Amino acid sequence: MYGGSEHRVDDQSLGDAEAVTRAVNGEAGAFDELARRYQRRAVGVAYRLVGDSHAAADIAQDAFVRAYRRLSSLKDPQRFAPWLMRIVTNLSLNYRRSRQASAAVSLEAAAEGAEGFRRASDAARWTSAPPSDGADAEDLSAAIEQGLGQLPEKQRVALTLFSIEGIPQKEVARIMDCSVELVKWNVFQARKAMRKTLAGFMD
Amino acid sequence: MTHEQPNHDDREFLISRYIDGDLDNTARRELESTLRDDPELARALESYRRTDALIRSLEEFGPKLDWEQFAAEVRRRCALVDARKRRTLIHRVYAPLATAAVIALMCTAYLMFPRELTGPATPLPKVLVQLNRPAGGTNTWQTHRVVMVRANRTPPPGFSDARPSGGRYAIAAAGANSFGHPGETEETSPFF
Repeated sequence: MYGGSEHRVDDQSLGDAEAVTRAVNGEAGAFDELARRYQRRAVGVAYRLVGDSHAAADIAQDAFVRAYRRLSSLKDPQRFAPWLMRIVTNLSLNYRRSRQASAAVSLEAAAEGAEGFRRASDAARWTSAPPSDGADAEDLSAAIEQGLGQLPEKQRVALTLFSIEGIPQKEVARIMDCSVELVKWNVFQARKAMRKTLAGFMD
Repeated sequence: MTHEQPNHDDREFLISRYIDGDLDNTARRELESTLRDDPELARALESYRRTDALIRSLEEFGPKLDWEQFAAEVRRRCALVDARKRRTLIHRVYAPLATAAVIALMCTAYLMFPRELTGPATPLPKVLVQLNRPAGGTNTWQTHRVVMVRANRTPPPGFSDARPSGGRYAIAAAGANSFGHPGETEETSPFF
């Protein structure tokens, strides 16, 4: 978990580094440990970027396999998590772009495009909402997903990685291959748009 | 775009950075002072905070998957990667190495035992060797065709190894029958 105390981040990074080293040395089960540790986050990030739970699961699996294949090239094993998230993000954006490209050649698909993300969100199977108010939580979740789906790509990535996943801005900048200032600006723009989208949930 | 809009955006951008704890002490104190005097900005801050909290709440949700199955699938695909790596290693490293070793072995064996490996030697053509200039002083023989022979420097019995003075050896394929004086030629095993 990127969020929380620095101490916790360090502990996890050290654990990651150890598991990466063991996996590179051929220890069976070491990579499985890493996969189990980050599978939910990987699927979560992919889902928020592509808006389709099945595609998100496929993307996350692809990301793990790619990470496994290139594990020996990871220079700093402590940075496994941001490295993995970068792979997930890139694969998700590629998927999204290819989907948009294929939608562009189909008038029917284009007509559905505007609602595509929202319908995908509705179709996604979610974990149970907080017990206090399930219906409101589902509505809120759907509204957030819809709002995220309408954001420009960079704003969506910045908000997802920074605000939802709690990845530090510096890491987000590396993942997005841009400056930290641009990440801050994109986060702000995304917040501004989401503020309007979520106005009905503010009371 | 009016002059107020960028200022408004700039102030809201400051709020966004303030929420993230991204402002230095001076900028933070300055904004906090402004917030005390500007209720609209204070409301904007509160609104951004709540928006951010709502967005962060999404972290609690995620696609409902069978995580055991997910992990098993990752494991299975990683095992395939390992198998592919092994195959690649065999194809790209071991197979060429084995081929090179076999070739090297064959070359060594050929160099050490050439006759055994190449089988019985091809019989050389018989040649006629004229040791002396034809009688009468007229060279009527001519080269019929050139043949490859293996030199055997041991003259057969009755033949001198001495090169005739002023004469030349003439070698021609057996049966060429192009010598002017056949009586003065001998058919023999290859020898030079």
